[in-house]
Amino acid sequence: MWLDNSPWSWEALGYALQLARARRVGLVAVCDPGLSPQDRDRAVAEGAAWNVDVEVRVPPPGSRTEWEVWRAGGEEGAEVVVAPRRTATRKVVFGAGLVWLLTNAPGPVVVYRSPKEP
Amino acid sequence: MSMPAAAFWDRMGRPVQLGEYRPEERGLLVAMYRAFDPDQRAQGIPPLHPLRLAEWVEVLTEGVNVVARCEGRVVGHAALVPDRAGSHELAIFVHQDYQGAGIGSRLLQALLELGRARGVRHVWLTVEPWNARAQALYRRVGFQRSAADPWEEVWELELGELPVTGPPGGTPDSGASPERSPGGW
Repeated sequence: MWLDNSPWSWEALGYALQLARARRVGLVAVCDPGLSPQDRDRAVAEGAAWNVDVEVRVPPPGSRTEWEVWRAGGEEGAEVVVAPRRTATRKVVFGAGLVWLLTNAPGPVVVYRSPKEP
Repeated sequence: MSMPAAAFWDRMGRPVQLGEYRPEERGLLVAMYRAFDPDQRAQGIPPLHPLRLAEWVEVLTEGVNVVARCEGRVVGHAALVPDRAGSHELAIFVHQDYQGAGIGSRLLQALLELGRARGVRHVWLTVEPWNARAQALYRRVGFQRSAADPWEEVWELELGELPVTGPPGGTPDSGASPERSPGGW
């Protein structure tokens, strides 16, 4: 999944972990470069709480997060979980990176929509 | 400081009053959104589910809010909602039965003036690239597009640069409100 530092992304991580546990598979969390080491550790810890191995990947310099998500999805043959951003007025915003990923997806993409959000 | 109410006749000859949103109008505001044409929802708002709609109205009314009232109903609503970066995001909706009547332009102008009086300086919004009518409205009041991708555009306005008097587009009801517009203004 594509993990950034928004509350929606963290909630989507919980959803992805539920999926992974039900399928008895691990989860690759591709982290935005802005995600701190502590947040990466948090993703691993949340996985452990669900008994799911979480592998954290960080895009190398010069790469983009969406490219790494695309690569990971293709390599693993897995579906990808993403969460669009919500603005202050709760508009759903995809952004250029997510649009690129959706249109170039290597397989199924789950666009997570929080049931808690308007 | 409260906003003085402004009254005018819309292009259909209906009496419209603009004023700052009052908490006791919450039921009328929710009723407007419950009757809002779902085809005109844009970027996920307004929510369809009644519970989520009520929560969303709570979010919007935490900011600076102006409503358009007509014959005992709320028929338009515009809000400036503070974001985490110290700016304010704009949202504006006019009920479908009242679009194309010059209400949206005046509602937006009133909101921006109230926002400026309240110390709001930077306003932004997102709009779908195909929503040309909404973009024309935003451009008329001074917004400029600052970013764009295939699904959404970001427009921004510094309120210090806002023209002070008069509705956009000339005479009071000549603001080019759309006949029908995704985004619902």
